[in-house]
Amino acid sequence: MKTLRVGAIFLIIGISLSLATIMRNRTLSTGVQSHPIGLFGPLLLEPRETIVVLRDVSPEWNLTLSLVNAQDWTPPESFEEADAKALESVSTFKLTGLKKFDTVIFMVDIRGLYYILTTISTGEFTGKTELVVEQRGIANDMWWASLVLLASGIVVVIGDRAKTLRKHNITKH
Amino acid sequence: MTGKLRELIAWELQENWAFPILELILAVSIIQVLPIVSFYRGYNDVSKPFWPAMTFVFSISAAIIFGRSFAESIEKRKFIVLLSYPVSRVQVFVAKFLANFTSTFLVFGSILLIEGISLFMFTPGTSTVVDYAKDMGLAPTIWGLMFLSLFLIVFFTSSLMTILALAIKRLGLSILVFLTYIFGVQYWVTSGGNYKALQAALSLNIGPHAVVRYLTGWYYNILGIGRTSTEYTTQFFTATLGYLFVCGIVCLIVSLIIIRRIDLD
Repeated sequence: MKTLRVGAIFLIIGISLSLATIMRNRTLSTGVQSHPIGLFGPLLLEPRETIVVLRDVSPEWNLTLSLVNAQDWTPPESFEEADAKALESVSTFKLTGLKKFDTVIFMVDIRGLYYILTTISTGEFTGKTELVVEQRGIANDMWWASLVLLASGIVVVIGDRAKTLRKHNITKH
Repeated sequence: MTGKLRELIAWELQENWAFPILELILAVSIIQVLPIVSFYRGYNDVSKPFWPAMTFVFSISAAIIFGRSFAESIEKRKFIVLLSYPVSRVQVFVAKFLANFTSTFLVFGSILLIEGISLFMFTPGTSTVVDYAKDMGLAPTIWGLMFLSLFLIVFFTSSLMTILALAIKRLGLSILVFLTYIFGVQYWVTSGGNYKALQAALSLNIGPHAVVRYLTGWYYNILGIGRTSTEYTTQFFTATLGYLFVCGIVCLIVSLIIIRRIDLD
């Protein structure tokens, strides 16, 4: 009986979590982010599709957009001290040859806190920059967690029922 | 804890949290809380959406759990059966309240913990380069205060439902009165749209957020890392704390008096 209850709890949590994951499957937008240099964050990003639009940037050509996990970089006291080249070297995603109004779509691998930076060809930060950041689609990690819980719940419930049936058959014979 | 009290608590947990009560509360809480997504960890962006999503779940759960535990036990004469054992009325009351309050707090607490983990609220931030994230370093403090607010709200709803269940002695009617009061107050304080007026402290979604917001702002200011607004006034914060904690204590004491004098037949 206790095993069955544990299975039922796993099953219910799995179903609820999968429903919650589907409910989160809406576009999450930061709106327009504006900063004196091309360094944004830390933003809380999930493992799902991410869209970044270079709404306004100076200079307008030959830009690089990078994504840096906050774990890989300790921010300095003021943003003037931030080293763009050092940041670019630890980036988890990088796209070069961009220009103003370009849209970049990429997939974040692991849930975490991230910095988004825009740099120019010399490796320095861009000047005043405006970005639009959006996330859409199902958060992969939550989806997998819900499936694992669901599967565990089903296995425990079926296992318990099979055990009960076997006991019942032995008693009958 | 005495052996008798432990046995009473175990009996109460088995009786009142039987299938499907725990499962239902877990399911509704997960569906209400986990769809909350945020790009930031600031106290405005992270703590605010949790309370409106949970007000409904807190109220319904407290109504069912404490209503079944007290009103239904009297209605179905389970209380009299329990008292036929060598236990006092106060012992039964304490065991019931303690078992249900602790379990309710643990269920909601674990949901809050999971939400906190998914939002990286237990990772302290460092000094940051960007203005809007200046409160990043306070993430664990903000989430710690969320647990304080959760404790206050669970304590208040539990005590209020307990007193109503004991005074009315009918499950259905006590739930009706409790929910009418909670959602009536909720509608009354938010219908004007003035969320900063003193009566808004009575709201189960504005009050707890005000506790988190005020104490985070206060903590930020005494740390000496800068000045920030507490958003809510000291008067508003005191009113919230008074309503949730002092009213909870008063309801609990009155419930204890009622249980000693109540006619159970």
